Amino acid sequence: MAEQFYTVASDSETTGEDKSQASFPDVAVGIDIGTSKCSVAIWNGHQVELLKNTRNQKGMRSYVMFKDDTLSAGVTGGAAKENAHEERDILSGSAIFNMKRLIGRMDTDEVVQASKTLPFLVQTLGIGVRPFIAALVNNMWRSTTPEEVLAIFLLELKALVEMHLKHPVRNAVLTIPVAFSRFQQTRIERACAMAGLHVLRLMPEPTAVALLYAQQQQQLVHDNMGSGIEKIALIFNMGAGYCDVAVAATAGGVSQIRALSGCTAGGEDILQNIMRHVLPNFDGIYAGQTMDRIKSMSLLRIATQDAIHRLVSQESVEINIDLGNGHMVSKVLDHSEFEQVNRAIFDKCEKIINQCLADAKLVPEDINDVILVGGCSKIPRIRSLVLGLCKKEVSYKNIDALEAAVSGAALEGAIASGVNDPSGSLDLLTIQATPMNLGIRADGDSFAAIIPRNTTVPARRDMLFTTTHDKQTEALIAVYEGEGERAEDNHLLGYFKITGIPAAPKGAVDISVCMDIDAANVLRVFAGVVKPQGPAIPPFIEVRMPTLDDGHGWCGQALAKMYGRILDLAVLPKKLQP
Amino acid sequence: MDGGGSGNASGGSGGASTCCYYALLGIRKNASATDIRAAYRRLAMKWHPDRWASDPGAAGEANQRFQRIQEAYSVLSDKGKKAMYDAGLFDPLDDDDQDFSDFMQEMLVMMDSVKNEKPDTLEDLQKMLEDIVKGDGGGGSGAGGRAPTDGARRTRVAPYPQPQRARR
Repeated sequence: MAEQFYTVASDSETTGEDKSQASFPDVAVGIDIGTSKCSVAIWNGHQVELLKNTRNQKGMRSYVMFKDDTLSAGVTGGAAKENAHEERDILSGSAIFNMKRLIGRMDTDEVVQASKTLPFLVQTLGIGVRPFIAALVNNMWRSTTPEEVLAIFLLELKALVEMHLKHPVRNAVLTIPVAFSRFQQTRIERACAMAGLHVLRLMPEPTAVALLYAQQQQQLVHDNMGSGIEKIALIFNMGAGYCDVAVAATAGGVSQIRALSGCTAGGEDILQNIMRHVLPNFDGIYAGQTMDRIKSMSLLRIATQDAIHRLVSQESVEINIDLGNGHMVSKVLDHSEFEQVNRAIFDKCEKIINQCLADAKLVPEDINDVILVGGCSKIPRIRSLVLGLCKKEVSYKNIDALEAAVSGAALEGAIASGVNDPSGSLDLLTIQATPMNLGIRADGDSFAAIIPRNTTVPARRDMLFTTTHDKQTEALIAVYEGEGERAEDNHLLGYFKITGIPAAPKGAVDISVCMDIDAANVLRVFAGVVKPQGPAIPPFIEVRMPTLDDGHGWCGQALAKMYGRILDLAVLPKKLQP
Repeated sequence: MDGGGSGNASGGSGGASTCCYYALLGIRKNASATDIRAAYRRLAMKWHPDRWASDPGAAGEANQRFQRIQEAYSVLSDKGKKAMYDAGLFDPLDDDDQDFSDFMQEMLVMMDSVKNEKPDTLEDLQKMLEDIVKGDGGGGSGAGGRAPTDGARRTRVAPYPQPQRARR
């Protein structure tokens, strides 16, 4: 096995670093790594500038090619070798793409299952462990991980930025999907650390767009915070891997996120639905990850992708593919068929838009602007769906669908780096909100939300609990994140025990669990006994979350089985709280 | 006004004054929704920790101030919660009791439709609420009703030392 030419440094201390404090005086770059496309932008002292690669591209493909013992990412696309990667090379099994879809997921995840149709190797055992991922190198499958692939990609991106700026780059603001769990966020941070980047902020994608919108509104109205004129924007973002919605109230440069909603639905799902529709028996024709299968899948994928793109401006499209060995595909696809095949995806989009409006306590008439971004926002059905739900005829025009998120990330990078612009262009503020409930397991397997969804960040909330057994002296604090009513339906972030609880009849002791999220979105959990007080009471415990290095379901199940009953806590009814 | 507001904010955070939120935002009690919003944005731009990125030492204090401002705004910007707060019935520990807040909002809508032009509407409202509360002694509303009369109850007991004990 040939040795890798890249050296990827490991920095296991990254998550311990205090993100609230900038390590270097330089300005943080904004990075938007989409599932399909990536872009990078910087505040150049006067405005946001999107950087281009050596092929003069602002949007670069998100993949890493492992061919011929060399590694090259989509940042340059192999331009250095005077032989740009073609689409069929990327689909040859030697490239890993869709990293953002795979990162931080377990093999029971339906997204991982759907990824097994991709040309590179994805193997699952279905037991809640990390999937096995490999690229084809010299006719052998070489294993890797989404974090490693992302780190290699970021390394090239960092080199591009440093070449442009002519000085080292250390800090970055990255955009992430709303649906990203805190565990997935830690994987992103780890990949950045391996590439030598310190994450200043991870910004939900539609809130980055909201910040750009706030800047535009500020420049448009020319008022300086004195006016109470407020505009409400609904931002819909749908890329290759994720779909996000945000409702933002904007005035005087302040963008207040009123609600966030997201799901895993994107162009990749649409593509796979159409591929299955065009060739229903694909898995029957090809068994195992053979070269024939990879080649045929590549042809099918390229043709289907091209058809979907053409459908944006045509009423119907023809799909003709010769897969070899006598397998031919010949089909006409029109809009109604396209919409029928992808009905479930459009239903998902509709659901999160309605949820976002409801969470913000708004009706469509309250919305001033509808902002559509992301590659899928060009799909006619998507546009009509979003505009219909918001009762608008047209969408907001002044924002580029593919550049908005990275521009907002660059603005946030400048602000979070402490840049002060005398012209007032950076007199901006994003008041973020939490996308998911945060709480602990209590009352058996119930989920007690301590910081509810859409709480303004920074936030600090506490809740009182009490013992469930006479003379109970210990309690398990299992911290979860998610929307489920039961703890095990959510993401387990970490756990610890409270010990030294004074022996007393059950219900006689008050235990406080406090959750604090700072402006950099760092979560800390504090827990301890608050009643009775005294020198015999042990100190509070403070834990920064997530602590789990692998978010698999086994840990949650084991905790529930071993400690769920004997170390349980009950929520103290509100009327009894002090 | 800013200075006064900030000064009151420090003092008000420990007390149970019914004008605490208004003082925190530096506005009058009869401020319009637009005034409340403008005050909130002005203070958010001043105190949100993101605006203190160049002075990390002060970010901790800014974090706390911003959260108090946010709490005041989330109550005063919600018609139902504002009415409860103005009537002395709002308890921040129950700020997620949306049912009662929605009920208050519905009452306000009904009152508007009746077009009651009495100048002492707020006083009448407070009396009505007190009657309702007395009629429901055992419920959560009862607990809520008792809270304002006991100043100590409205002060959150800090279970752990604050990161910064000294106040400027």
